[in-house]
Amino acid sequence: MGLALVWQTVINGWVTSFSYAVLAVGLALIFGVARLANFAWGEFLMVGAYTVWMVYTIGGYPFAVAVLVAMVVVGGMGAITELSIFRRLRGNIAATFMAATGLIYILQVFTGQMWGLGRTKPVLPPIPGSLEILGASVGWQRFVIIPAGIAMIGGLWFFLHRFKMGRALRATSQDAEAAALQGINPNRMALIAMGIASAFAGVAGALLSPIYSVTPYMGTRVILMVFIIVVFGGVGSIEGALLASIILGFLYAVITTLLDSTIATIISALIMAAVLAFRPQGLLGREKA
Amino acid sequence: MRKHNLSRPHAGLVVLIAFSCVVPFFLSTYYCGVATELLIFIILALSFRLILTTGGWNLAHYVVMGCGAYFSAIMVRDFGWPFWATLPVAGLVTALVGLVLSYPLARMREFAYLIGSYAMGEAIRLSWNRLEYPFGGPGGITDIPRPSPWSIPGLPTIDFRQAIPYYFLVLGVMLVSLFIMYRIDRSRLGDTFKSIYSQDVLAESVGISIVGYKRLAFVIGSFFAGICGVLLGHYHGAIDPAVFALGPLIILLAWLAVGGITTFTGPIIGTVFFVLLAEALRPLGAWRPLVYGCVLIGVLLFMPYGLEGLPAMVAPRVKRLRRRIRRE
Amino acid sequence: MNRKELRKLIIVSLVVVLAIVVPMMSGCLPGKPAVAPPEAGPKTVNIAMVTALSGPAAMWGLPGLTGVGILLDDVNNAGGLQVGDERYFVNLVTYDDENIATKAAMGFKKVVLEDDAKFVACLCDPPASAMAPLSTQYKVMMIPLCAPGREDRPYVLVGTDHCMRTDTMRGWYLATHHPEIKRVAIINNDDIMGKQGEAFSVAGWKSGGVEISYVGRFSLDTTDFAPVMSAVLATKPDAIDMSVTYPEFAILLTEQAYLQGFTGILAHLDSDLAATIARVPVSYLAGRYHESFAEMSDAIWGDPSPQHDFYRKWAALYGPGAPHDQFRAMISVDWLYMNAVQVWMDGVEAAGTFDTDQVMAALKAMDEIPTMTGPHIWTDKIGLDILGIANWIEPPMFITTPITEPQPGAIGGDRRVLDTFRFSDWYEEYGDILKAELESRDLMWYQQVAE
Repeated sequence: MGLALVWQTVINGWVTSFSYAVLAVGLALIFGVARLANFAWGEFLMVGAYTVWMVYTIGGYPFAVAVLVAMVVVGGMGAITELSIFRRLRGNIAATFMAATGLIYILQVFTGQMWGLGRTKPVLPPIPGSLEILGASVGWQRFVIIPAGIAMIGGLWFFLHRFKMGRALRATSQDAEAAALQGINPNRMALIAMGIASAFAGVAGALLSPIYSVTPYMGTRVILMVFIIVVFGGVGSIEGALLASIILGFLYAVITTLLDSTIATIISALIMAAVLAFRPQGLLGREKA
Repeated sequence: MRKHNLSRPHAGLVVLIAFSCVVPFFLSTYYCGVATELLIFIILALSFRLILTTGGWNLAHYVVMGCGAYFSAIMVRDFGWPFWATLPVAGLVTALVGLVLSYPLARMREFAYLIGSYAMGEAIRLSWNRLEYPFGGPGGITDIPRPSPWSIPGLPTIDFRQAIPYYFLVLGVMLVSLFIMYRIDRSRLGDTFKSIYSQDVLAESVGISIVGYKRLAFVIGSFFAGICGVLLGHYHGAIDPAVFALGPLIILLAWLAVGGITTFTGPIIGTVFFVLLAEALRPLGAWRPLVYGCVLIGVLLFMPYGLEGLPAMVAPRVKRLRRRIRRE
Repeated sequence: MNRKELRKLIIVSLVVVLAIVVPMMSGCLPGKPAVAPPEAGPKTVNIAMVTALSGPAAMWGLPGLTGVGILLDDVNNAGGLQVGDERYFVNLVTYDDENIATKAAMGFKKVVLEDDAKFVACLCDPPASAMAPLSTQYKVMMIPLCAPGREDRPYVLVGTDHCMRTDTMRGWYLATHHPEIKRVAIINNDDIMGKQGEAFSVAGWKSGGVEISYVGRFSLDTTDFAPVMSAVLATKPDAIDMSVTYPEFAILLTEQAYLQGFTGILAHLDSDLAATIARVPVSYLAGRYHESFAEMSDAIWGDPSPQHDFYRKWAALYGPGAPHDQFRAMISVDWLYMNAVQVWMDGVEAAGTFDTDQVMAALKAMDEIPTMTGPHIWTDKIGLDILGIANWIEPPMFITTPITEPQPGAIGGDRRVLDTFRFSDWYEEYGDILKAELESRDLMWYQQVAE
């Protein structure tokens, strides 16, 4: 492997890691605070992408506006589903999982029927061209995910540690009963967590829409890896999700370059299984899952 | 205390079995096939529930069924094994797969179990997709033969390529499987399984090896899933990795969500209801999955029995177990 | 008995009643075709499409309904299909197999046994191979878009679709018309289609004397194509043929080629040019990019023409602002199933009956079988060589390139036809190269059955 290819793979690794990180961190937040396995996460991403297509490609508004709209739309969707569906099923992991899969069907079919199938929805990269780093070239649109991801995750960390509400979220995530005894309303925390995490998913979908192909089924491609990452990192742990994104994201990029992405997915699943066999709480998860 | 329940279901059971034996003669070939598939799915749903009673929503179950299907398809088609010998062997091979999977899984909890089982199932399924030999890659395996005809002196030859003979083959296997699973469910083993369901219950404190029993349930459930796979593969004559993917898995979960898992008959009711609903809704075409989604969410939110009833089931079982252990 | 058991018994009885009633009822639900009583005028015949109407593969099935719908409307409005002395309205029945083999097998039985369909159009493998034995068993003609024919599949007619053979032609055309190309990279997705496409593409380029610098297949789960393209460009190709990769991947591959500074020739089976142009300037594509599917709006058909009529009708129903706006341009899937149905109808009208044996015989007796994109011809020798049977027909093949300004004589579209040719002409001279490529990948018919 020539040096240029190595460097290219390193850059791709970072981009892959942060693409997954933005998704995984939000999911980890929901897992921790709302005890919710949102299997429809890929579809939240898809709605974000479709929103950008509608606002930016069809509507002609600036990309930044489209991203904001996506954030609001998907964040709102998260809040609505939390209030109407998931709240009533709180505590029952299997029930929330299945309700989420029901959502998958609804979102996929509705989007496909309303806006047609057969071609992906085109979203022009707002930042065209690529940049050169030591012989490796990376599209700007793809590269931008790294600083965007750092900003979003950094912002979330800041919020969770420096703001009262953020600390309340962390408290609920660590020990829901104790937090409730302190007067923190678990339902309110769940709603806020869902809202924030869904907004993240919306932004992720928006940022990825010029890169991934936009179809009603685009979510199914990423959902497995994102879940592997969250579980591998430790259910409910945001730091764990970030660490796992970096490790598995890099691994995925390297194996894809050397072999192919099917093998990369299989190996990621096996690593996750092996680690969890000996350390059921994942990398940075709490003892009590 | 358990005995008195047995006499009542007997009458209903006989009626149901008689009905199942009569109904194929009134159905067209296609609907006989729907009924055949339905019987296979009932076995699958109950084998899933068996694993579930120890606290695991095992999302690898459909893929495990696929292991049985692939094994039997390859052995019968390519190596000429007879169907009847392959059926139990495939079940055992699948049970072995279940045992291997249960090693990491039995120690996982909650979310990790859910996602871990899904990931491992996918790893297996992706390998089928990846390997042309022996699994046929994405094209899968076609031309899977039906069992050879039976020539019983004095009777007309039973040709399993016809819809009705194969239906009765499946019915026979189903009755035997259900009988075994029912006995397990009603036995002390079954009680032990159910007491493990809730992790932080006193089962551990009375010295039961949770992990060991979870593994056992996994192995038994996988055995029956393997049987289902054999029956399904030989019925359709062709399988491919997509048959065992996420979509059909979610439908399996829907059967259980709808039917309830507290009782033995719950999954049966759920499976029958959902399969019939699916057939009736066929004219909806591309909109059909959306209806599935709404039904699923509706059932989860509004139906009184089923998932919510589960915690209520655990407590008396544990009490009974503790009482029995204290007595000994 | 107590309340709980009573409730159980009621539920079970209800379910049992449903089990009897629903199968009987499903024939009466709305949306099902009402067959006109014999004395009420023209009869109706059912044909079927068993394909993916939901799930990720739906984009290869659902759009097919558009073209078939327009064709059947035309036929029925003209009085129906002429079968001997009688006329029949043709009605389409669909079954969603989600591209899954087991569901397809069930679906075939449903449409043939319950809906009495006389013809089945379907997608590709795995469903096509699952349904093929049933086609033989129930003597119903089946046309898959792309699936191999076999000796034991006498009623499976293959070849209406261009793909695979047109990939060979594209490689040969570019190799012989662009002498600056010495090395080519061939990329495909990692599935059956990809493997077959690879064999056909490689054969085409080799026949033009070009060296193959890279041959690879990427997983369908790939979302980042930068590493794929990096690996390709590392072999320094003069041309990159994306072969039969799905259009959504080709867009991203093309983008990567552009971003990573590739200046050679690009080729692909059938692209989503609108989406590609969203990412890559048209000036980059002009003169560089080549594909193999002609559009119905192209100038070569002339005006007026059935093709232009079809284009206008489609736009009126499914185009921008139309009642069923699909938010996309017309794609090949929109008319590929339609061509298959057309072939069957040609055979039925020639035979004067629905009997499948006679329809097949009538088709074989025809020198040319007309469809919207041109006449199909029989290629028995090629069929025998590659499929082991003579059941292979061949449409005319094309090569196209994107246009940068509207083309005179065209009524729309984003590309123009450069040339048209016949695969059988190429095969006469270079057939052995293709056979060698197929054999090395275990794709020849005698390797399939022995599996």
